[in-house]
Amino acid sequence: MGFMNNFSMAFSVALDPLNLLMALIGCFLGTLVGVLPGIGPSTTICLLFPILYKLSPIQSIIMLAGIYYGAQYGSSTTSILVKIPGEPGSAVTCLDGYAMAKKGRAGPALGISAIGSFIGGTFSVVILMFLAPPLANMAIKFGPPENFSVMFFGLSMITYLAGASMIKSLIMGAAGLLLGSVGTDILSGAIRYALGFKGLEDGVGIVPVVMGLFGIAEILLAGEQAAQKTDVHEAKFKDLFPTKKDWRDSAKPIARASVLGSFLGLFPGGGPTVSAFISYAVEKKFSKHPERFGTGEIAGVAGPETANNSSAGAAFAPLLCLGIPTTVTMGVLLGGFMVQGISPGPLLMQRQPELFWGVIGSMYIGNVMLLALNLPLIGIWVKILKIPYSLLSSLIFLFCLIGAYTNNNNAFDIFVMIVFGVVGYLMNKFDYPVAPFILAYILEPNFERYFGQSLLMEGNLLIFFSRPISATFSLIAILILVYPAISNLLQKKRLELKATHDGLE
Amino acid sequence: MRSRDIVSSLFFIGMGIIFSIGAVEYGIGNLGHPGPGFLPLLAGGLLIVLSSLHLFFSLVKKGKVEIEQIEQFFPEKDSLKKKSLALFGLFAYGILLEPLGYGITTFLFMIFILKFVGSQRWITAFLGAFLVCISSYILFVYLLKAQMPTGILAF
Repeated sequence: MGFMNNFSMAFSVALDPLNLLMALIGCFLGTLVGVLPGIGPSTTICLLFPILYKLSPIQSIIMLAGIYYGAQYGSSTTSILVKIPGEPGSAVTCLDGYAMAKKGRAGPALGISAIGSFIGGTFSVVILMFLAPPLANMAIKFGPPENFSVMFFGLSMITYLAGASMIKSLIMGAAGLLLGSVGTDILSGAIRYALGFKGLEDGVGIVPVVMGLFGIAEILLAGEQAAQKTDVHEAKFKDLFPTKKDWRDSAKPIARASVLGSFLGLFPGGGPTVSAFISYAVEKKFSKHPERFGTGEIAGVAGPETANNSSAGAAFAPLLCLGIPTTVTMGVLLGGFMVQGISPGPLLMQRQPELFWGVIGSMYIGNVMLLALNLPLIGIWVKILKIPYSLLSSLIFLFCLIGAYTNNNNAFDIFVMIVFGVVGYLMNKFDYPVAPFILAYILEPNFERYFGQSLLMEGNLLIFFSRPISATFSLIAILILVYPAISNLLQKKRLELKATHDGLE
Repeated sequence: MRSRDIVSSLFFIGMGIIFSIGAVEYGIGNLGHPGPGFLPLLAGGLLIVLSSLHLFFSLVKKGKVEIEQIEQFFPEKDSLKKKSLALFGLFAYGILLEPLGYGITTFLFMIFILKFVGSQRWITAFLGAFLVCISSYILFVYLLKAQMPTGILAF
């Protein structure tokens, strides 16, 4: 299939009026939840699961994708105007973005943010277009051992990057796998751990779990941050245009961040948040005035905001071509695809090319829509920020309740959600990272299936190591998991040696 | 906090044990032909090992283990009360939704949440609940055709 062929297919699907509408709704919703702290793309995507049944697969994916990268646009608004990140991917934007707002330069900060996001987002989609075919071609030769090893690698990266304590991340991973095993076993049909509850026979639903962990828990925790006076800085559309100097100062950061984000986004754990932080560090290193970072340096806004969007786009490569989610939100998105009966992976491109390329085409268009949504409509978003949190949290509660119920038209899921709300709250209090837990939970069915199929092939664990691709990924995964422990031990030994050495002198 | 680490690792050890017992019951099979309990046993065993390690490391750290007070766990004033009320409200919604129907349950829930958790005045709570009830009904039931129970009101 030639490049031009793919390109034209991408746009003929994407420009279909109904698909355009879906993209618009997705982008709008994404921006909205990006702006609103406390509700994020994961929860929103889950909320929409019941609606997905009414839409065609391509319509759902276009909309859900729009929500995902749209949220990265919207989240910069709160970071800059209120110093509260709408999404973690914009946390680092709070530093220089808010500083700029305090100096009366909120407009250019928002403007550069949106433009950088657009450039980064579009760049990543271009990369996606060129990377996808060879990636899918490679992946199509994957058998169960390779699929398992890549997934294992992905999970281990996420576990490693999750938090300070490796042991806690691993515990969360194991717990997530156990949770995922509740329900009907794909390979044998046996019903596991359902405790006689009909509502558990199909597994613990992803919707109530995500609603609980991200929606309910978030609100329960938010009550504990000091009630902040929302000092919202005003920003008008005509103020949004950056000066010539701003452009000059932002050009290189945006370029660097586009490449950086697109690269990092391909790897598990390299999501918008990590990309934004790394971009900030990179820009500080490259800057002629690193001491100015934190006081309102525009590179500190341009870089991270470009990087987070760029990585959001790139993340679709492993998801669509390999079926591997690189972040928690992508994992939830994967859940959404599965609801539609779509199995992302190399076969998707072969069997449903119009779906695959249509999504990519709509991502181009989505980025354009988002530029339009985020610049002229900035006034609306600012007004929305002024809604008092008590009303907002009540609404989020209600949406979560509705979402949980409509998952299966079953009140049982509401109770599951409440349980996970408490679980999520406790996880935060006891300092356990959520990412390995939820990704292990989402991936468990596939993880177990590939594991079982591989063992059936050979009868022992060697199969994962005898095939080159599988061996590479498996070994890297194991290395990642044991590295912290080993390096800890080595450090202790070094300190001991040094102490004895010093003692002898 | 060490005390939290100790408590949580004990919990996970317990969880690992329970799941592992279940796994053995479901049948482990063997390496060539894994049964339904195979992966759960692996994961459960891993959980037991890891949490035991974590427990060990938490116990051998230097210094006293402080028993935490409830106030430290819930730092904000009223925090425990509000959270319990919120959870109660959610729970009540789950119980009442099917018998009473979407409209009434949502209305009652919103009043409860706005008034008791959000600390709004009665009038705000009523108005807010009314507005949300109507608009959410239009959005979810009418436009999006979600199947919400009608309960005692035949909407």
